[in-house]
Amino acid sequence: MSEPMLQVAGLRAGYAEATVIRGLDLAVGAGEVVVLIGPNGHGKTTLLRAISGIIRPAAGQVLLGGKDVTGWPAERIATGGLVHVPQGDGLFAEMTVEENLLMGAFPRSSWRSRRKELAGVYERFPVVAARAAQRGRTLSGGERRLVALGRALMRPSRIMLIDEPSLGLAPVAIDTVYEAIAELKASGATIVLVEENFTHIGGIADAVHVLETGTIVASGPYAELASDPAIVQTYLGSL
Amino acid sequence: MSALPNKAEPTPAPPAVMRSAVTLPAFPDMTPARWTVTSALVALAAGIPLVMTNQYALSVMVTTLILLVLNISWNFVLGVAGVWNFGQLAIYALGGYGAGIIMLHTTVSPWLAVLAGGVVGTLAAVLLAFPTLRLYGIYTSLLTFAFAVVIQYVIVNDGSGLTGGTFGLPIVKGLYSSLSLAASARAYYWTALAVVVASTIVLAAVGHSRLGIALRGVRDAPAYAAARGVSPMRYRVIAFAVSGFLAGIAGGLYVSYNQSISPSAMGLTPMSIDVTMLVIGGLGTATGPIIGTILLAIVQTSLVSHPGAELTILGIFLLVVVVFVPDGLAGLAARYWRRISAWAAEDDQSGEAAGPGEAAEIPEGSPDPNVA
Repeated sequence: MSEPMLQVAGLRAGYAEATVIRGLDLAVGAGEVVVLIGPNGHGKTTLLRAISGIIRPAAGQVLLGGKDVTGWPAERIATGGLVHVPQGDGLFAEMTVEENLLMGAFPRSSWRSRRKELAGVYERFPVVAARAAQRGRTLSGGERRLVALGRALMRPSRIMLIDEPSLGLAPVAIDTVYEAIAELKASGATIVLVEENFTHIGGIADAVHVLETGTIVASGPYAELASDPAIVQTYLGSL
Repeated sequence: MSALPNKAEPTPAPPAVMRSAVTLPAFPDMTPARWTVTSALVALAAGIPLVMTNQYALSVMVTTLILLVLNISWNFVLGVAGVWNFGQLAIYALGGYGAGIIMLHTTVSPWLAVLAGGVVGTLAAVLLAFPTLRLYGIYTSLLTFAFAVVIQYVIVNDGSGLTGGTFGLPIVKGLYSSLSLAASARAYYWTALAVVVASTIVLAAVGHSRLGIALRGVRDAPAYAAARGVSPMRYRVIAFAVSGFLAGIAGGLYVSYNQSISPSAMGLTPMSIDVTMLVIGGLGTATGPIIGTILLAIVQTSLVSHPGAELTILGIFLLVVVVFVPDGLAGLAARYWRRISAWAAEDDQSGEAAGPGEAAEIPEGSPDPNVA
């Protein structure tokens, strides 16, 4: 692990006049699961969107596998091996579940093996298989999240960005989703995941960073941060 | 994983490595029964000129079929790709003028002239696509509508005599100028029908291809489509090009059948009627333009002696559909078809537990309580 899979340096990004990410540095090694914790409105989603090219960073650098991809359009970064599982799933509402999954295999390099990958996703998530012909908008929240994860598995990726996988889900559905993420981790995936709190990430996080007003204010292994009374006070609340 | 609802039966432990492949049919919506019904309807349509002796009715049908080609092309860019392009009639007219001018001034085969109309339509559509690339929604409509107005203005005020101004092109020799009137009407009917059938099949296959899901992905959520590797701009240009080619072919058929074309082929009135046909039929579906165009052509023809009432009644029709069946008659038909096949399936396997797909089937079009 000489070179990080993802390296972010001095990143600034935001919308129109509002700068949300203010000089952020982050490094993620291959096979590592890095979790960013932070309250609502402090830039978690914006950070992921800036890394994946959905919004253009205002300053700083994003390196993917050592290659500078700063300012590249999202489709080029995606083709380069980055998979973004957006907040609220980003399913294509009017397309069927199967077509949503196929969108995950869109780049030419992965399109050829789409039938095999589809079979793999159906095998992993039988619930998704049962919904294959239904339109995205007719699914429940938990099913959507699984479709979004399944879509992320439709092609080999170098790194996955997962935005608040627990958001708006019932506890049982959250467990299902985190089981799936744990399986991804076990299979060696490199993951950047953001969440609002520590509740669900205990089993998967290698490193945790705390994001506040657009910068990282604390970093460390899960066990260390989760035992820091000041941080626990702020981000765990109910523990 | 068993925590999720709707899992009817315990899944057998999946073999970890072995994965078979999923078959992806080119026409996932088409069952053998549907193919049979479709083929029968096409055969029926093809038989009409053999028994139809009323020349006026036949000419209305030919005009309707040519219009249907235009509407299929428009449905592709508007309904499938979701680009609010209101310049489609200008592209159609440019294809028509292109084909007509070639028929008028050269001796090349009129078939090549019609094909050239398609090429002109493609070029016009691609040229129109570029300035719309950074626009969305209503701004696309405004720009493409302005394009249509400018094209009409240029055609009407052309000083060189190429377009014939307001009066249009002088009489051109069409595809079947050597045939008698009745025989040529039949030939045009079959030609237009063949183009309708071929373009419906091709565009339906395209709709489920890599290109089609890219277009619909960009339509549903451009940013997320980009994050899956789809270039929204490239695919918008492709959508315009495909749709422009077919619109140009429709224009070529129009000028050939009418032996002329004038600026009245475009403009606001034909455009509002065409868009009404698309919306009533069901935007973005393969059958929508067919249903909408034929139905409204019938309504229009039966109102032909009440010229004032025609647009009013079409307007009321549109209003009712937009309010009560926003996905059009094709969507309505699909809902009933689903319900009927669900009943049939229940009858077939009564006693068996409802399949996992049916148990929680939410009727499409009903608001989904789970939308975040």
